[in-house]
Amino acid sequence: MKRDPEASRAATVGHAAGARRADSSVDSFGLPAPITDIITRTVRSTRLWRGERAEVARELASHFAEGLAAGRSERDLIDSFGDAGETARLIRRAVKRRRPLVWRAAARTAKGAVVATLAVVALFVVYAIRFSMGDPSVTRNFTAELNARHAHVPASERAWPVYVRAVPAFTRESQEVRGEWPGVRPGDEAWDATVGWLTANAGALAIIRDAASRPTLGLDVSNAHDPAYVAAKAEANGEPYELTEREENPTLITILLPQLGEFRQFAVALVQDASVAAHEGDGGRVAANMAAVSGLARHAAEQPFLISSLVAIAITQMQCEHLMRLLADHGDAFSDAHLRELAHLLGSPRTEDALRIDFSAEIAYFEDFVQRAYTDDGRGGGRLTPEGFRFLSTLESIFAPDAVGVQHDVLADTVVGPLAAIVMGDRREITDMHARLMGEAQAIASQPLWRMDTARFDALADGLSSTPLRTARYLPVSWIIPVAPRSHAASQVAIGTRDAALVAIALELHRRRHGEYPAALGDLVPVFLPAVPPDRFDGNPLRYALRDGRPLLYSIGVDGIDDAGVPPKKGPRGAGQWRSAPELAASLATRMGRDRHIGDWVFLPVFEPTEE
Amino acid sequence: MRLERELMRGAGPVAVLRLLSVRPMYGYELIDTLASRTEGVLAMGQSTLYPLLYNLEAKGLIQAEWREGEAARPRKYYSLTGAGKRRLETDSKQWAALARAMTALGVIGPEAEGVGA
Repeated sequence: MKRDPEASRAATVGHAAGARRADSSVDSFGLPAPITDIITRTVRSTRLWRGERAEVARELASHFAEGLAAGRSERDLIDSFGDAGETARLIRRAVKRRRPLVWRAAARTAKGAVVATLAVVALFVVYAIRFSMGDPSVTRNFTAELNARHAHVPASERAWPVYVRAVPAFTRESQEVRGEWPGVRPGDEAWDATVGWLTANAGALAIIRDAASRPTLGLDVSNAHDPAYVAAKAEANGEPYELTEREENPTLITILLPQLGEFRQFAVALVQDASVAAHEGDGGRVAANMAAVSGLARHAAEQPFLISSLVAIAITQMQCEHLMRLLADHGDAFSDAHLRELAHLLGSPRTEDALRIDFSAEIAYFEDFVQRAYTDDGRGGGRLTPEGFRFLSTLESIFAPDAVGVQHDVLADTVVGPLAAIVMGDRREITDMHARLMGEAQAIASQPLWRMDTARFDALADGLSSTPLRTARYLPVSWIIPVAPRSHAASQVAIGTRDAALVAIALELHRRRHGEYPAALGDLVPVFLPAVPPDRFDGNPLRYALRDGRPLLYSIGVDGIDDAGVPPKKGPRGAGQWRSAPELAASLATRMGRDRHIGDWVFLPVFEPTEE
Repeated sequence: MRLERELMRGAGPVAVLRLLSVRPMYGYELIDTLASRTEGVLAMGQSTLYPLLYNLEAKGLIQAEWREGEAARPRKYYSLTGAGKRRLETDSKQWAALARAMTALGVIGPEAEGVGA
């Protein structure tokens, strides 16, 4: 048998001590060198433990010694010994069986583990190859579909290009003046600077009013800002603004909604200007500004994104709260015509629409993710693709910025990607789960606040992360699913505020016609109010009473208890903040929570702004 | 005549157990005895015998013991354990049954003399 000199040297070095013990066992028999050599080679080839080799060497030496003593020749004994390698193999196998049970069990387990690991690795390699070959098929351009909704509106009739012209007025430097808006009132330290800015920028406000009066925003959403807006922002900030390349079919999650931030500051400026106008007795400007604010809310809500709805809701709520304040502080500034105009504005279907939560873009977000992340078997199924795996990181950076992200390199995409595909739900599974959740979200959004039952939605949403495996399985679903109960509650609270503002206008009109406030809200119907609006927290008519001849108008608030119009210690707004039952219980367990939530949501009389 | 490997695999262990049931023996002695007592039929080399002995030892059927001073050189003697005796008893019965069956079939015995002739 040919021997590999390298292997032999390695074996010699590695088992030098064992070899020495085996050699000494053989040496004591005084055998001829050829026999000693064959014993040594055989024993070394067994690769047994040191003691085992010495034992085997001694027994073989004893055997040869017996043979020689019996008169057999050295050659005869060597020939009858057979092949050293084969003998070593048989001896090794037999001797290992004598080893302790624990060792044999461990060896067998290790062997099984190696086999199992190799099998798993082999399967994984097959899966990884299949994963790497996955290709999503992008069939829909959601951005184009959104923009197609106003494609028929000529550029000259669109509001967005007009709004953009007002952007340069809102400079970074002016933020200090605008910091406390829209709550700056006569006598405040910031009043003079406020009036100065509003006077100096009356042109910009006029532009906003003009834009807000247009029927359509007409903003083509994209992953990039339009050049006119970029130039306007550069002018406002005094520094270049990033201009990115416009993609033909951008990922919906990456599209920009620059109007929302601008509308917030436009609305704040208009409401603050309305406050100045009311102080100056200019009810016409107040009404014009309020109409423009409603236009901003309507334009904000034009895109079906949840964030768009929430901005529209926030703008409207601010508008109504400040309108009630202006009526209380400067009621005489408003003519009857102004009041009717404001009532029609707030009660119009357009305002109603702007206060409605829209989940359709949230669904589109998810469908866009699925079409870009999964293969499509044409029957609703499909598996995660390498592109989808990389897309997850984009989602993660948006929805879970604090999470430890995967660095995308060849190793991560080759190893972690297939693992993600194994752990994560397939196309059908996550699509079904998303559809179930959105169904529950829509069910919530169809109910008034006092009937809102979030239990099914919450249970389903909580179930997405009930175990680490489910968390991984439904990761994109939990990222993209909207906070439906809170969003709908925000909408309902804004509607409640709007209703209160309508009642406040009706009360003022009644006072002017009859010289006093009505004894009951029903007296306002139908001349001044189409119907008594419900209390958003229990569905009963909004609470009303006369105190010293002045109206007290309130809702029982989030705690569900009529406190006879006494607001929480921290002011009435906290009572108008919806909380789920567990959240409310937790909040009421703390002093701060009780100060904030126990009491009524009082609209009239108008309370001073609080530290909230 | 030497046995085929498969037959040796079956016959070898019981033959060794049988020899060791008489008295303890060492390796060379076993090889020598098997060859001489069976006229070479069960002759086996070291590469067969020692693994066989280690297997029987691993199964607890035999036990080994080095003896020094009894002869000119140390010898490793193997003897039967209790389990080895019981196994030999069982195996012997099976071999007897097998021999009877083979005889009945004419594989062994007078009738077999002409087989293959």
